[in-house]
Amino acid sequence: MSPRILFVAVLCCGLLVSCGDKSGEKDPMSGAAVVALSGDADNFNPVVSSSATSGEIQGSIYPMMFDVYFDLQEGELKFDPGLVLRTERRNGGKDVVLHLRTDVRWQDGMLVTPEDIKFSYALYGDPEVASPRRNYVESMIFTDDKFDVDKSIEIIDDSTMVFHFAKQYPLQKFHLNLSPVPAHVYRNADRKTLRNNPANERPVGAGPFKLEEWVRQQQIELVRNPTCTLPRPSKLDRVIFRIISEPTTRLTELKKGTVDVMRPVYPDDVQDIQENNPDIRLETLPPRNYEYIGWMNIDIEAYHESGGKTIKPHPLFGDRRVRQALTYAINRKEIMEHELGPYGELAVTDFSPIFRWATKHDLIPYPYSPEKARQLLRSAGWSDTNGDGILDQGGKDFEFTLYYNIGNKRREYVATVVQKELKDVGIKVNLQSVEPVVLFDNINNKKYDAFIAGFQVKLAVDPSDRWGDVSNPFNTVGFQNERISELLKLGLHVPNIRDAGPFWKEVQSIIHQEQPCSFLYWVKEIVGVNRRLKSTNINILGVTDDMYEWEIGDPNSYMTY
Amino acid sequence: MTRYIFKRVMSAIPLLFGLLTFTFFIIRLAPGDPVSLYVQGDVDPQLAENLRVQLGLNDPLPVQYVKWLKSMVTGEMGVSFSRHADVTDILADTIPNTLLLTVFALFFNFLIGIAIGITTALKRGTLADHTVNVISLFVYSMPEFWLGLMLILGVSLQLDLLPASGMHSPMARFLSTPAYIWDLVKHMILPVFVLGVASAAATGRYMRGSLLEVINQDYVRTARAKGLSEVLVIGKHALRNALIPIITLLGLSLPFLLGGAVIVETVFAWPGMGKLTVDAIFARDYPLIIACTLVSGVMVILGNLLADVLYAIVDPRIRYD
Amino acid sequence: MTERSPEQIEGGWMHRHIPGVHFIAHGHRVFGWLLLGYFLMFPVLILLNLTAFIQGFQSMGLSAFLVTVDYHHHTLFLRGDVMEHWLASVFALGMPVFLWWLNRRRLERMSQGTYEHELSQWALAWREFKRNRVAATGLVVIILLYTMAFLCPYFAPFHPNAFSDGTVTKFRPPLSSVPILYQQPTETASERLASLRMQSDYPSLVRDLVLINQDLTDEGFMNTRAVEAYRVEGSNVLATVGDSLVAFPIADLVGSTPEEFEGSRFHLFGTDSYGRDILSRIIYGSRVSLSLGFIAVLLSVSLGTLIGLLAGYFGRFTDSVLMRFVDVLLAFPALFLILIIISAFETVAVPRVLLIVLVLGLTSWMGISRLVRGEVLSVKEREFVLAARTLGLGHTRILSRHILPNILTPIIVNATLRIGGIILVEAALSYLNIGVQQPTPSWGNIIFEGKDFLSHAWWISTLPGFAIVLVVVCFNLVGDGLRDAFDPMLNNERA
Repeated sequence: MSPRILFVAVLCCGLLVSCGDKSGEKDPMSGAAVVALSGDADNFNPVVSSSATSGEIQGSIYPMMFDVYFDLQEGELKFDPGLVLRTERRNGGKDVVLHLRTDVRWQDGMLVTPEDIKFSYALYGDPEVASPRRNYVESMIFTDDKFDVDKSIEIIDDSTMVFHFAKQYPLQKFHLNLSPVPAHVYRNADRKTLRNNPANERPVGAGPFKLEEWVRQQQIELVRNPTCTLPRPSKLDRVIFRIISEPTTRLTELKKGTVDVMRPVYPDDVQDIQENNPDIRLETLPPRNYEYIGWMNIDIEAYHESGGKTIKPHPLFGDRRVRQALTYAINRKEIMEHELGPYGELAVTDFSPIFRWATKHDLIPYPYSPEKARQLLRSAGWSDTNGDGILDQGGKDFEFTLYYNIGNKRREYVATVVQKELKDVGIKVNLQSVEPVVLFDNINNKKYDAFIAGFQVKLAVDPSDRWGDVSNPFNTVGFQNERISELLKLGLHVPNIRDAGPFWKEVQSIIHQEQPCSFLYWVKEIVGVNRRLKSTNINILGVTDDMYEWEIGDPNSYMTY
Repeated sequence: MTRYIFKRVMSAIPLLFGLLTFTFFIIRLAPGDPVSLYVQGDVDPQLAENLRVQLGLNDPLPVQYVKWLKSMVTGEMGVSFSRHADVTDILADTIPNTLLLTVFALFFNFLIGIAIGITTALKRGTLADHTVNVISLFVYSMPEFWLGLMLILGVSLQLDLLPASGMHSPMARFLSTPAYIWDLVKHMILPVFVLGVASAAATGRYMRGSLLEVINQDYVRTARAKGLSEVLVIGKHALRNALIPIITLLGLSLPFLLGGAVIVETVFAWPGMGKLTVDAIFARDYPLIIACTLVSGVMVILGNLLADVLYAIVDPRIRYD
Repeated sequence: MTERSPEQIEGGWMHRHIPGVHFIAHGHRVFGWLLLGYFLMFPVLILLNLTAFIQGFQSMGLSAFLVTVDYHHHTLFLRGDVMEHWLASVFALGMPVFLWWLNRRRLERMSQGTYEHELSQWALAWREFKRNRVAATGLVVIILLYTMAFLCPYFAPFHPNAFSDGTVTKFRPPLSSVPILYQQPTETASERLASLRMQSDYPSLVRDLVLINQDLTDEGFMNTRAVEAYRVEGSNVLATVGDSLVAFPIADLVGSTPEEFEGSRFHLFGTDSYGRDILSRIIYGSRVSLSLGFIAVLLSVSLGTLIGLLAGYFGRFTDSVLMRFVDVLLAFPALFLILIIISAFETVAVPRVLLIVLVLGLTSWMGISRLVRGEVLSVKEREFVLAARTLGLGHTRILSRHILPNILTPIIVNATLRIGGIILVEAALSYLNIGVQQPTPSWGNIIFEGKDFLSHAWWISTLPGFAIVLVVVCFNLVGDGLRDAFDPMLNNERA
């Protein structure tokens, strides 16, 4: 095509558009909201999906066992009726009876039955499927080390089923809240390749929305599911999720009004938005993620050589006094104020302040005190004998490499400050940023002596991952304490969640004392919402929780180019 | 000619095979585990192990290689680890998007580049030459992502003239065909500018050199001496020959069509091959990396071949046996 | 030029010892003044940074001595951050001396009458190049930028990594100054040293060296507190820091009156999100970006030239093997290859900068080798090469003495044009998160660092962006100028 013809063609298109205005027909954008996301979904099967985007969207497509919300007043997850109307505990709490609704239909018209639920749990528990949520069935009945779905789940009739657990424990309801998938869709699916099943791209759900179109790497479009009774069809006609990975571009779209909801807004952008974009409302989520500097507690060389048997203290960080000194030497408060301002909260332990009843409030955070740090290091036998400005002991300098993930500017800042502040107390820190795949792999396998990482806590208190067995990948610093192991056993077997309070508080005291890692801060994520969107209930469960309630104030308010 | 092309294509097969084998091994020897991205936060700590079994990553490397060879022979590209879909489907979705962007970018690159080249060559040494040269160089010298972000903030946010990102407006599929195309064109302007127009300076300088060389050739002088008008001399005699090396350049630019837009695609949220490949590398999505390498390898080889063939067509002095 | 008697050419003392004066006197005013200015810049810089200049030599001398007698402490003596200062001192002294020597030599040769005959291809090209104003300006800028890169401790107002009180100092716009309070030092380096037992035969020398090195590498923001504003109230200074009011007892500050404890830091180009001075980071970043571009190109050009020479000269089997190899490498998509290699080796204990240099250098030589091969093919049939062959000269000699000099022009032009490209690739790698490791500044990673703040702190990304544009433009102009200057046919046309 010659350039002239092309130019004329383009011009004609422009003319046609401007002449043939969108008259008469209803603008499809008038009842639609646009949400910007940083990454694409991987699939829409809750059994196997693992991306944050999938998790965010599936909640609006699939039926939920309970309508879960987090009660910030009480600091506890609450389970309102969803597919399950009510529950009863029997057999000393080992059996849980579920009374189900019988009028919920999949979007293709089939009823949601107890068979669907049992089938789905069988999938979740099957090691061949490799579901990320397989640990939810861990406390149910196992035969020969295999999840026994028939013994675990008993169907009484169309509206009643019984879940059998191996023991009574407080997180049962939490573990009963896995989304069912339609058995009639997946019955004949090969379990080994369930992840790649084409049906995952055309999910059959029962929630307020259904998937209309998924254009990979571009957008995911949900439309109202008019037949939904769980709880009811959405008020919006449609919600479009756009995938924009570059943060500056994402923010620009929010400011332009071409995106209605966007996360995360960086604290540094808040002032700018408040001053120049009155039509954007900023909402803050309660703290659920914390960041920390992990100090490896055990000698990892010996640990790996012995295949995980030998556990002896780390040459640098094995000493509690050293770990305490490191926390003293880092001005965590200033780091937090610099990076997050009012959107951060100093972390004392890994118990989120949202769990009001479980958090020990009287622990005093370690203040910034290089003097105290030097003193503790001296008492642990570290001093600068050769005058190079670096502490040494037995001819070895106190020097290590601090790893963090590449491209994460907040952690880059932390790393830079830590390097600088530890230099002041005579510790030499080398910085190394690595790709996330490498970082997570090495952290989970305990390959790093020191690293900066973050952790998102479950919405139920369960410290067993982080402080349980050394072999658990989430015990990233290889910390082990006998008393904590005892307390974990006690706390995880009380009948009611709250009964564990005293145990958890003791765990926190020990962690505070031992400083297995230096906790930095809790992050309160900021979400930007265009004011034309009403009734959003953006909460700790996610931006899209209760998305069916969203409404649009002025239907003609969507920005067009 | 046909025989030559056939020979070249056949010799490309071992080349591609070597390329893929190299990629296969180096990406598996690279640190990082494709499944480690799943093991964070609220998931089963044992997931990594189960997944590794499922994806066949627990086999020894030679076994994996033999399995991979088998699947390659049967034309199976495998399933993407991170996107859970057939690699072939993913490529089929992505390649057209990238081509749309890069073909136009390349087109404008050469169009504007040749124009710059002619202007600066004919006005050599004048103020016009230096001005055009320096201005085009300035745009060319800006880091792509920086230029892209500046344009988004300036043209899209401040002036509100064009959309900031994406390929279509969210509801584009409801638009009539001309409106749909118009919508697409508006979304394309900024990325095409960054990708194509900005690099026109390089093409322009190439063109300039080539034209200057031709202008001094005897036949051009002869044409001038015959009293032909300057327009005719330049247009008919000089330009034609000056374009020959440009055509080679065009052929060598082919790989750019599928891989050159990484940064522009990320900045403008354009769902294309460049970003796909980079994401795949960072996610250690082995099947997808191999497929992307294959695609770009094929493009490079085709590009070289095309350049040679075109050269032979426009330059009758070259003969292939 | 006309014949002159030796006395005329000699000129006076000024002509002989101050480069540039001779040129000014003989009509090359612009060039002369530039050379003179450049030459005189060094003494001025040395005087302005006399302590650092001397300490650089002291440190170098002490280290050289101690490392020979006391190798056990070598980590103490050979520190990268200290070596930067050695380099700066040596360059600051060496460059003017070199210029002076060059000038002397030229004048001597002129007086002997040998200089006039040196109208080689190079001299002609140089004369042609100087006539091209635009290209010459580009060259001047590049020389200045490289000088700055060598002497960055003398040019930068602050240490590039220095920051304190980030909440107060971050995102300061260009031309702003930050008020600071001077605090009493808690423990000085010498106090800390006093308590040390030096295990060396020369404890006092080691101590001197440690102190000098500490002075040289001091980031400089110790014992100062940046504040937004403050007022004196009783025995305290009340200062606003972020949203809160902080009290500093005057007893902890230096002196007792505002004149004594108050100061300010001026940021010409503003500060970044850490509170670091952007100007200093750009100056220090030039060191990484410019040397990275230069070394990577040097590497790729040397390798490409070598392969191209061999392939073109020996032909037949060697040629086809080498060129097939080049084909294989060319079939790799460049950026992906770079990404994959950097991913594969990133955990190996090699500094990222070095890895990037190696990868960029080793993945970009193929084009050059093709170019060189083509040139060699045409040169090797020329009479002088054939003559050399009949004389029975060795291959090495023919290649290095007869072929290489005759194909150098396109190589140099190509290399010049490539440096700019490499600097841009470094920026692109930063965007893809595999650029130079922080906190070391490079232009690419400063731009990347600031890109998220473009909407409210434009200066962070924009100013280093201009630096890149400037350098890439200049390299391209110089490359163009060189090409024009070396191409005799074009010159004839113009004349």
